[in-house]
Amino acid sequence: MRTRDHTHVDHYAALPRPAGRDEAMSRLEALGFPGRKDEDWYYTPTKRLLETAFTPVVGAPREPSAALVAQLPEGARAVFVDGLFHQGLSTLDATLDPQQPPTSLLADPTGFDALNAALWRSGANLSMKGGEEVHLVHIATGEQRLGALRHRLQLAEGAEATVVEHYLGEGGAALVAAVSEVLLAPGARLHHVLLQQADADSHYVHTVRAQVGADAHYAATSVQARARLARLAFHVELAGTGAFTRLCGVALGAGQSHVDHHLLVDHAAPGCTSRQDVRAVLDDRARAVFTGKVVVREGAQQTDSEQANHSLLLSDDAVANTRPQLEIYADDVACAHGATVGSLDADALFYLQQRGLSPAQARGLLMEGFARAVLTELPQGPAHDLPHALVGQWLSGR
Amino acid sequence: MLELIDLHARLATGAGTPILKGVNLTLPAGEVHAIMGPNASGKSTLSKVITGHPDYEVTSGDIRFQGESILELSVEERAHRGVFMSFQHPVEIPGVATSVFLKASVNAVREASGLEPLDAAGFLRSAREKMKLVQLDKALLHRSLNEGFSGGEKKRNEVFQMAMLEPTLMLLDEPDSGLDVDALRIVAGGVESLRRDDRSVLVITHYQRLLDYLVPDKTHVFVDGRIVKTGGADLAKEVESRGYQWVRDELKASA
Repeated sequence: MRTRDHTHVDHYAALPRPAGRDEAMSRLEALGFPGRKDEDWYYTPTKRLLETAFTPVVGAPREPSAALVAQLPEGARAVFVDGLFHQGLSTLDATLDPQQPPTSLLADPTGFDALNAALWRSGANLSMKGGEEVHLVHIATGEQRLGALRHRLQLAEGAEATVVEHYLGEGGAALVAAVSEVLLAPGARLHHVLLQQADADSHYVHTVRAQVGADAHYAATSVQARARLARLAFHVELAGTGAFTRLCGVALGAGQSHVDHHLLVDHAAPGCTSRQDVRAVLDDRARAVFTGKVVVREGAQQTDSEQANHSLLLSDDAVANTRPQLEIYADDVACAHGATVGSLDADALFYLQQRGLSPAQARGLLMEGFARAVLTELPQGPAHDLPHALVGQWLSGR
Repeated sequence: MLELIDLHARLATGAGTPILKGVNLTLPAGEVHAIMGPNASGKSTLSKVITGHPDYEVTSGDIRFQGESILELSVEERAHRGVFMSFQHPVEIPGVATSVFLKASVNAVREASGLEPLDAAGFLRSAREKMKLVQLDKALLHRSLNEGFSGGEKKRNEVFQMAMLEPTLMLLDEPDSGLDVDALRIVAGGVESLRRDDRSVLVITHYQRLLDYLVPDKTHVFVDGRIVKTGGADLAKEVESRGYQWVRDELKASA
């Protein structure tokens, strides 16, 4: 871990510091931020990020541009700007009390999660009974601002809901350090969509920590489309018998962008199922990193786990790193994984051109098919339409 | 319709192995010609070269289509002019729905001919109608192109696309391979129904049985990169019963 800290946290000295904050700060000071020596960050360089001084906003949230406001989704939404709740842009008022101590799920944070634990000021607190469809929007306004955001999403027994998190941005370099805590009671079903289209010079580091109860269903879909550096980590604990999770994602990289999907599924109970399918479409000098770890605890028999990671390289300078990691301590389990890295299939391109499509149309169709393959199981409505729109918008720029 | 004039072609990469060694062929409008030949004789390459496949390079000779050389045209420009090849092995394209692909394809060809593009409803109406021709289930429109299709479904899907694109030159590269007799009859019947006085068919096959349903005006025997013998529908039957050795022997004797 690196020990330097350029995040200028002095602004926070006067704020009350409830349980967990000082501990988190001490841990951060002692252990620092992750760097190349950390196994989990091996392919994701933090040097550039840590050399920039990011500053939290104190006082009222900034007003984002009219162009960004026009992009806000319809319906129930809570909007946060640089980590602060923006009442005026929100239609929903359900914020997490920043005085609240962390739950055991978020104990002993390190690195950016410790930064979040020490500095978070706002976030959504959703206790859902079923039928909800909520948008949580974060806007980074750039100018080297730090947004530390914390959401808590809880679903009652048997409830089904959709939560779409949007990460938007403008104004250049910013750092978003977000943590989402997901607690699903038995039989609950959450469709969790994470869309990142932040400023091309910004940094986005997000950890989703989920605990999935018996027969509950946690489906997460990530579309990462813009930031200079994006790292989305899932840590999903399948805690009750029959729990299910599907983690899908697509990294869309151009220019110098770097997208890291870091997935950990912990099969802690018997008879649970997990699916991971993360793809990348990479142009220019972009890089995508995938780490997919599956832990099967002793006693987690009848575990059924599949993992896939496919990357499509559009340029000779694009890079994809893939790391499947399996730790299995039970004997009656089925764990499959597969990974491919390649360019567009020449036979398929010829086939499409023989049918009259131009090379550009043929390439576009193949890229769409590849990227949209992870978006096939989304429920109707914005959880389906928004990720598809973001993928379409990105591809139309290739 | 189609004229091949002393056509020579080789692999565009690697050692540049010559494959077509002086092919001469005249296919008039409205006719069906069959090309039969042993494995590795270059007969599949012939259809790919006519479509403009980038793996092959024409070293001499010409391909004239409707009176003009098409050697300088790209793959899609030849398709726009009405060249269609049904693939021996249609490519599976995961994630791309058959309907999405085919609507883009139909409209690319229509636009190149100065026609208005079809809207979604017009496309679906036409597609449903033409799927009946080869007894394809309309549910296939919503599935990824050729992905998980049976061998028969893939071949029938090729004929369905041909019906949608209404080409003037239909190149059929072993449309019968991997088909049972019932599927063969459906595929051949589909092609037969697309025949018109201003359309021509060049069918490449190993087996005469397809030609029972799709009767050729002429049969060409293709050996070692060129056409060595031309006859009527009976020649196909003779090849089927006697193989190719006698053709080679004749060739040697005349040399």
